[in-house]
Amino acid sequence: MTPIISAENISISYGDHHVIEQFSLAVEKGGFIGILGPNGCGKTTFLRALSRILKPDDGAVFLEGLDVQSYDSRTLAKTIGCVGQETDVAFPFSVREIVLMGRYPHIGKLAPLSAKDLDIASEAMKTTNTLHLAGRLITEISGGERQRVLIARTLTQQPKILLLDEPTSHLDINHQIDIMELIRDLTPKITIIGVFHDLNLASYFCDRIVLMKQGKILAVGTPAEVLTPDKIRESFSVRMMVTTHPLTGKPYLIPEYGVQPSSNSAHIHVISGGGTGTEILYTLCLHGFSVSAGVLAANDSDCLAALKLGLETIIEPPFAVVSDDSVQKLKAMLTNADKIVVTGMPVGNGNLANLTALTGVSTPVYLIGEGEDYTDGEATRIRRTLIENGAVVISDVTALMKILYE
Amino acid sequence: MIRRPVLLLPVLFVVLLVSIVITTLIGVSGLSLLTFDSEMIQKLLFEVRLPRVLGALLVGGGLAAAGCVMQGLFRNPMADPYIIGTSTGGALGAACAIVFLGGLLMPLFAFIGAAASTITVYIISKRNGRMAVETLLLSGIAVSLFLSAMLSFIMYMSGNSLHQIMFWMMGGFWNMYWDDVRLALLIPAAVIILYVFSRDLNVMALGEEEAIHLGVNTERTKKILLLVSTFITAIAVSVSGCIGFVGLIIPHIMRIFTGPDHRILLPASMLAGSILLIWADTVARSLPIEIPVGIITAFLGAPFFIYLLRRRTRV
Repeated sequence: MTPIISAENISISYGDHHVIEQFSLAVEKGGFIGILGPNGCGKTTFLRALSRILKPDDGAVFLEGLDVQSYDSRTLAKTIGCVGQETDVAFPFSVREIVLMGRYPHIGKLAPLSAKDLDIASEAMKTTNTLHLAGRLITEISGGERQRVLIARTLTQQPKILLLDEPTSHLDINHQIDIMELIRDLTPKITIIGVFHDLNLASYFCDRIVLMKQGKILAVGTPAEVLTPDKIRESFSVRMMVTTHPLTGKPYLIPEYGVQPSSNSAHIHVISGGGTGTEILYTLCLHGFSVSAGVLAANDSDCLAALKLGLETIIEPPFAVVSDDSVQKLKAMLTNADKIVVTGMPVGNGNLANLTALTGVSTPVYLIGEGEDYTDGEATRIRRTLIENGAVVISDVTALMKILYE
Repeated sequence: MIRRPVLLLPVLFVVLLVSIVITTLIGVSGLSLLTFDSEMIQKLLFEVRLPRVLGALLVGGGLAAAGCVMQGLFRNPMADPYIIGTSTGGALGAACAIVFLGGLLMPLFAFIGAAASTITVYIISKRNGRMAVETLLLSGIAVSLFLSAMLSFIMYMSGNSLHQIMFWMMGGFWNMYWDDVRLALLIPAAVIILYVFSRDLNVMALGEEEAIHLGVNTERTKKILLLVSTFITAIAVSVSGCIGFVGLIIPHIMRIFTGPDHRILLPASMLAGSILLIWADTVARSLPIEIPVGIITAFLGAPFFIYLLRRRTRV
């Protein structure tokens, strides 16, 4: 199959600055292509070359096999539709008038709008859920609504290809998802090529990702092929953890926010579970404390966090009762620690040993919150004993940090 | 819901026709329809008043239409037909004719001055075959400043002609004859060309890049609209001097009533501009001493515009 649109070796520079160098990309009909990359890497410039706003210094863009420069402006507008980042409309046109402007390339200069034109516009407003706005002024609707109206106008052009430049960049998350779903539902009738800044939205919605770096293509492929920690680091110069989205199974990226564990301070042991300790572990690491954790089940999210942070951790296999061996290790660790933090983790017979190990340890203990007790009151009893023996109850991480710095 | 008045154009048209008849019959000459000398009446009505009324009609309509197009093209509510130096160029040309030729060929010189200054601005702001409206605006201001320095110099050195130059600069129709009217007939012809592009102007209100995406050949459209508007303005300036206010405010006032669609806005502005200028000129020539019509237009129009602004929030 010949690609519907392709760039062949295009280069574009503003003055001496090469924005795009030797860029080639072929897009098959019906796909949803996401272009990703850091600011200034040439994403928007590439899109502008596709829509013929910019003429490449070198190379050419081919649209359905023909050089895009050979198209007359109306035919081009009937083939490619564009939705920009933010459009500022100079005069207060009504939404219907704006949408009907999409018919411009189809009708003569003075020809009145036909019933067919009006139908196509209404249909586009229905698709984008903007029909109820038809009588409102474009200057008086919200950002999310305006973006949908502009998509409706572009659909009224009846293009084969839709180019989008960060169509969701100024919108709240609900509108972002709204717009992305709307766009995805246009495929495969319309081929979508979009520049996106939210990696996770792109990962979920796009079927192919183009990752760019400084005017060049770094990788092209499915989200799973392209969105790997190494490639992301190379493109964005940032460390990202790539997990699988628990619901969709698509790659899900989480920034690491630059943690550098150090061991130049007090040693703190954290007893937690079920995700109650993750923030505490992270915050303690961020502040440079020497941190250890456990006993934790291998599939516990606290355990994953502790390992990712590079902490010394006592681990049990998933769903196993804490073994005597681990209890011995824990006791040794607790004795060596300067302070012990116990989170409000849920306690059952499996991890009760974590609490029992605390009795008879002289190290100061801090209790943050109280979790569910599945041990017929045993866990609560131990907590009470700990408090009687001098354990301090505190409300949250911030309070903990305050005490640690006193 | 937004109202887009369908009746506005016919109403304006009727008002214009009635205005032509009434204003032709009003005057300070002391003659009225009761005078029996029919030959005298005929001469007064058809040789003096009617050309004046028609001149005001054509110039007012042309300036309002050109102002409307300039505001749409520049996407700037402060734009008027003189924005790219047309008036200063015209004034300089006229001043040269007054000072050096004793007023001979003044309309021709005014036209040449107006056209030459606009073309200069156009050439300055063109780069790589493209013309950015922002550059156009700024080079218009720069060229205007330069020309107005030359104009000031000529006025400073002009001695007795100063009053004449000043009077011309404020604009008026005291000098209107059938020859001028025939020249001004080019204005409606040019306005028709502007009207053909009204849908393009609507799309260009979205911004230039958006307009390209929608299939507008923006470079060609800008060039044509700019040249035609300038042509209209240059003719208006050459027959009646620099009449301000009409081209700036009339499109705003009409936009309040019609909304921004140029297919209605442009003819509405043209009709309203004609009506305003006919009446303003009638007032100007009915006063004990004839004063420049530009003073009247601003004097009557500005308070009316402020009233509309206060009443309606949307402009």
